[in-house]
Amino acid sequence: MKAYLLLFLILFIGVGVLIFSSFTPEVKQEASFEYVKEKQVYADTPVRKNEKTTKIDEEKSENVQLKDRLKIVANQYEKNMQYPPYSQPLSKKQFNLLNPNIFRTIQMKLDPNRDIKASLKLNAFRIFQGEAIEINITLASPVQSNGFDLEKIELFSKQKLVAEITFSKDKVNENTKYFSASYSPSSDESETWAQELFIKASFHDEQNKKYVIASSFKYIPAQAELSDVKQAYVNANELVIPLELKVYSDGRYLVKANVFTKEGTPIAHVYAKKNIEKGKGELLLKVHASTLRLKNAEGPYVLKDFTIVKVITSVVAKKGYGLSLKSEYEVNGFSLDTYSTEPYHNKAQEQKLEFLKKISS
Amino acid sequence: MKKLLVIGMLVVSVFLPTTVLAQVAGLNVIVIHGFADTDYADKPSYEEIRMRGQAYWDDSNQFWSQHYEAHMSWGSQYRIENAEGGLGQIMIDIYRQAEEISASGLCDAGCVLVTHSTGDLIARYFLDTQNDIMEKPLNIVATLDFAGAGGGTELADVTVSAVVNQDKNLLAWLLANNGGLMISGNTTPENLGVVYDLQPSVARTLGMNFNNTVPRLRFSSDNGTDLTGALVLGTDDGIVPAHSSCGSVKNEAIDSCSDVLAYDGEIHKANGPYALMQNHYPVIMAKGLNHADIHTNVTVSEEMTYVNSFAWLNDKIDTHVDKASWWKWWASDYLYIKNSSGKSVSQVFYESIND
Repeated sequence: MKAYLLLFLILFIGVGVLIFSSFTPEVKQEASFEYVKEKQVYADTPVRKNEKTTKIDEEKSENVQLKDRLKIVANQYEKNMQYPPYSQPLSKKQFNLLNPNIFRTIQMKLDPNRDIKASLKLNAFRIFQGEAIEINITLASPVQSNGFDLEKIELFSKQKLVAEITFSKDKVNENTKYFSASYSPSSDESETWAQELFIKASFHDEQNKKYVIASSFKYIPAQAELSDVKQAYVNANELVIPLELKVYSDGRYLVKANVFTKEGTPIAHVYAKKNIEKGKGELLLKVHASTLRLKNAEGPYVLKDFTIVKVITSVVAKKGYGLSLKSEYEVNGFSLDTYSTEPYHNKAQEQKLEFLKKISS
Repeated sequence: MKKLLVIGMLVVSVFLPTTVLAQVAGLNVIVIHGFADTDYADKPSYEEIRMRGQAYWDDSNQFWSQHYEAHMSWGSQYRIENAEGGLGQIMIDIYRQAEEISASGLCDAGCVLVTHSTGDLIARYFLDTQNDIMEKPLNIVATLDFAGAGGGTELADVTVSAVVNQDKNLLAWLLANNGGLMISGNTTPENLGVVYDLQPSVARTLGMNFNNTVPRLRFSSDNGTDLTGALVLGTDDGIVPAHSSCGSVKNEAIDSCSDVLAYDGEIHKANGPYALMQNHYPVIMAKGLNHADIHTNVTVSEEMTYVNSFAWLNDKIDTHVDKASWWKWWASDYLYIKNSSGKSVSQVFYESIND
């Protein structure tokens, strides 16, 4: 009887597994050309199964396969060459371009031997004089540890304590404590500071042992202002967006920004560089029609995420940063038929592509 | 004329080691070395920095010792950008050498930069700024970045915290446990040198204008220690996290340069980069190699794997490869560079491209 029951159980499990497997997709993926390419590579490539028991296709040499992979690099590079560096198609994944002044959160174990972690984040990496310094700190431990707490937040300029910042404990969520603080220094105060500051958060544990998490950031004067964005116009195969800048000293200025649809879809990352004398100057951002056509975006657009840099032009020059008076500007658009259709071509990239092709052939 | 010839020979002797098999795909090679902890205590002069830089690559165990025409060297005790926003001494020295290379015409037909570790960050800054600074910029066609530290390392965060807190016990502990960027306990926040630049929050602001089009080929390994595993986000090689060596746009906890491959070549859904920085292309992942070995002749017994290069222009293709079928539950599939076991990463690449 027991044997029948066991046989029934085995059959039942077997049928169940078969039914389950029939509903399990063999390969789960979003339809894409890249994936097909990937599958082909797998199919053509020596595959080890169960400690290399699978026969490897001896006709395929390793070099061909590494070169096949390098061919993908060359193809990708060639694809990117269709778009000018100053007007690159923008993806929602391009975190660094979409967040040009983000402070990268510091996260660390306060003690390598204990699983208690702290994180520190500021509102930006470059904070302009006159802006508040906003700080967020978390303290997490795997077990409830009430004795572990934030003790103080201090600001240092050249090793000198310049401010102790009051903070609030916002909430305690399971095993994580959240703290925040905001500090707005007076102009008299910040003018005496170095441009590079250190922020230090001190913690103590149950035995009053001290721990520290610290990082650096910049607190800097603005050296230029984006004061206006003028009416955009079409010039051959480019949308030209004139910017009005007010600069506080002669220099070469770089402006970077992102172009979005009004609905927030990223379209292009654009930049332009120009020598501008002290006072007001104009700088032209250009969006190439190939980029607009790729995104099928006729506008109107939103221009934002500005980075304004006075670039270093000699080994003795200094870099500076500017800010935009408004966080975003609307930019008028044109029908894509308005633009001429000659493709973008950059001779300087040809040698690079040739190199990639050479190492992959 | 004789004087000019002597000067010319001196320039050549500075930049050209006695190599016989130099060049990558017909282009001259310039190497840029990585972090050197001894610089903090020794404070080498410019001439000593030059000599140390050459020794870094001419060690008998160095693959590239026979494959470079010039080296650009720098001191770890210095910064890339100084506190006032000007070029730091690292870049002043790099530009001094770049001007000499430019004058020699070495890169007129194109050069390839080979970098190790922090050399990646310095190369990125150089490529980002040279058009504004040099009358005749170097014609760099591509870079090969081994264990690139361009995205910074969390070990620098730990070190900076210890230095700001003047926690000599923690610094000594890190030093003793081989877990930090080895700087002296006497370091202050003002003389952190390049460790300051290696904080991910700082590194990821340096040379990030991407107004150049140089393709950057990345080589990454994973042989971190338990200690660095605890201190560094995601997989690391003992100093540099994968988010940096792969070229991710974020400092994030990733375990591979690919979404579908692990460092050992196993095909499965991997925790790869959110996206890659512009023109960054991971090429080879090598399991079991340390940070200090990935650019050398040190070999691995296992085969290496290579990395899918995905678009940065458009949204990253969200590709999943799950185990093919339930009846293969006991098996894993691996993707290898055939016959790559027993070779160094550089050798595998070099042999392939010169085949």
